[in-house]
Amino acid sequence: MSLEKIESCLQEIENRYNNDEKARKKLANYDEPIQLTFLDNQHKVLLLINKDQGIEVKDNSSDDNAPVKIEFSSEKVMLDLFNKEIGAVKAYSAGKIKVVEGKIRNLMKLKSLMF
Amino acid sequence: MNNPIEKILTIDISSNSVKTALVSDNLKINLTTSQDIKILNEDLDGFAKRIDMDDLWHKICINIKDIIQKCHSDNYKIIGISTCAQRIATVFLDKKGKIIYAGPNTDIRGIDSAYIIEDTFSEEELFEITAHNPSLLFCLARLLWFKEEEEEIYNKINKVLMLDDWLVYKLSGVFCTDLTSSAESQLIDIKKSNWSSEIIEKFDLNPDILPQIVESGSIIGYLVPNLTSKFELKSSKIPIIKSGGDTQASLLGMGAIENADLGITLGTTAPLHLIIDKPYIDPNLTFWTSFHSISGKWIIEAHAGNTGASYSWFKESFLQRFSEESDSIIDTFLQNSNPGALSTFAYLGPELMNLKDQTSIKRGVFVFPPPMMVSEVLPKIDDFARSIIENIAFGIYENFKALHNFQISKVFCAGGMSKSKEILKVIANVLDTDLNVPEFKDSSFIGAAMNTLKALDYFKDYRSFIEEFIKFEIISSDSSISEKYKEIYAQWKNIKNKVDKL
Repeated sequence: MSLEKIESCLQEIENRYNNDEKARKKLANYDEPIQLTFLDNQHKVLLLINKDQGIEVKDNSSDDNAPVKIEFSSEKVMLDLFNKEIGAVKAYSAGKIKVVEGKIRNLMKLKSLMF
Repeated sequence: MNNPIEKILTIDISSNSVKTALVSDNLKINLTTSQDIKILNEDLDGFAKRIDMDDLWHKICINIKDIIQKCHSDNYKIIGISTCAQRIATVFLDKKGKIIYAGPNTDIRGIDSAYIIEDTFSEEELFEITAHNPSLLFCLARLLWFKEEEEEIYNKINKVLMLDDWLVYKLSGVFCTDLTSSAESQLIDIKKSNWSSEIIEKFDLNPDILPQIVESGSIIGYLVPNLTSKFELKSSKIPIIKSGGDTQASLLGMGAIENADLGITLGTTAPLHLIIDKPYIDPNLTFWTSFHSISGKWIIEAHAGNTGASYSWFKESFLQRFSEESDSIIDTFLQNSNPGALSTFAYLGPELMNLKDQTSIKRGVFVFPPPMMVSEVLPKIDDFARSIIENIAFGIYENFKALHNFQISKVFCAGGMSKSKEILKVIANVLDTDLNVPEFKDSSFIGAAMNTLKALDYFKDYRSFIEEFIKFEIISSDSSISEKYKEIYAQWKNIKNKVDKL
């Protein structure tokens, strides 16, 4: 079933964390906040991952000091990613997703939640 | 009848093609054939890629038969076969020798499994052992990916080979690797010149799946009989000689063999290799260390990125409609334009190596004076072409400058783009150094042939052998142009810092 609203994508991130043991295992040592920004409407979302103990998706929240910051050129990009209408590499190379801050080590762990 | 002329059959699987050449024992390339290889996407995301190995083997066989047929009338004898291949590419075989995975150097499925590595070793610890990063690129992460995602396939893995090792196995039936190939697996302890027992133990890998390490430039077996007849070869018992990584073969063939020699390979990418006499671990975790083909020599690698890929993109996208001779058109463009190309700057990727911090794919950008009423002279296609070559040269320069912390004596240059003297002049002027360019630019063939001749005891000393058989042209830098380029580079770099943020 295709996702039509960005809120559904955010819910899917939570679902993947809660239901996918492998995704959670990857994050067993991860506890840094991740800020998502959608540039078309400046919508901001904060993902708080507490290792493999839980995830909190805070919509309309931001943390300027978040060590990982990912920008999407629009909400549609995230919808397209979750609906498998575009691949992550293609979205990256087209400049639709940009990691403005963050170490590659951390980003690799986040892939299974978002891409 | 005269004694037959001795020839060496060489095969190079590069990033985009498989090439075959017949090289004489005095290091002249007599015949070449080339065909594109097929790289297939395995997922929508574009992270997982594989090589179409049936297609590859089919093309290798066609290439060899084609070359043999072309010289059938000659009185010749194949004295050995040596191969080299793109580094990092990995092949897993099952117990029957059947391929169960073959991933090219662009397969980054390891992005899903590298967390296991990162959680086991710190970045510094792993780099101290392997002198390579980031993990997601290499065989170790690919092995762990199969362990995590495709356990059934993982359990079938009987041999882990690098791409050149696989080709050697196909030709000889022998499982082996060499350090020039296996250094790019992230399973090798660079200081111990052997498989890392620490890595093998930490990840609970079966050491039996790793092949024996042999010396680059040694006979590992003979061409299997059914291939001798399939290729319609006259000789029997043809030795197979291990070469390994295509870059190391290229370094040999361009003459970069002594400590402090720097070799620049102008292929799809442009690695710069500085030759050293002991392993070096970059404290900044940026530059890789690998092995040279010559025993007791190591190489530090800085990498300017997709240089040849940018050049090919421009030719194919903008010049093909004008003529099939797009290389010579670029030469004309360079002759018709001036350094700085009317303040036209290209940002297509070539830059200082920094793989460990790379998190985004940068946008490609041209910056140039736009058509305005006040504009007197506007850039033409000649200038855009020059801006791309200058981008490539600036990318090489940034890495060259970084390696200047070490002593550099002579700079050698080979590879596809070095066929253009005009391009070489730009690089020499930007680097403000003379370039030593061998007669045969496909230097990996010459390097593989040298490995064969060394294995067959045709020579003992690399230096005297190179001096006797490889002719060099010196491309000199012009100090006045080099001085201009210092200013142009500063302008380019200033804009790059802004462009990178797009």
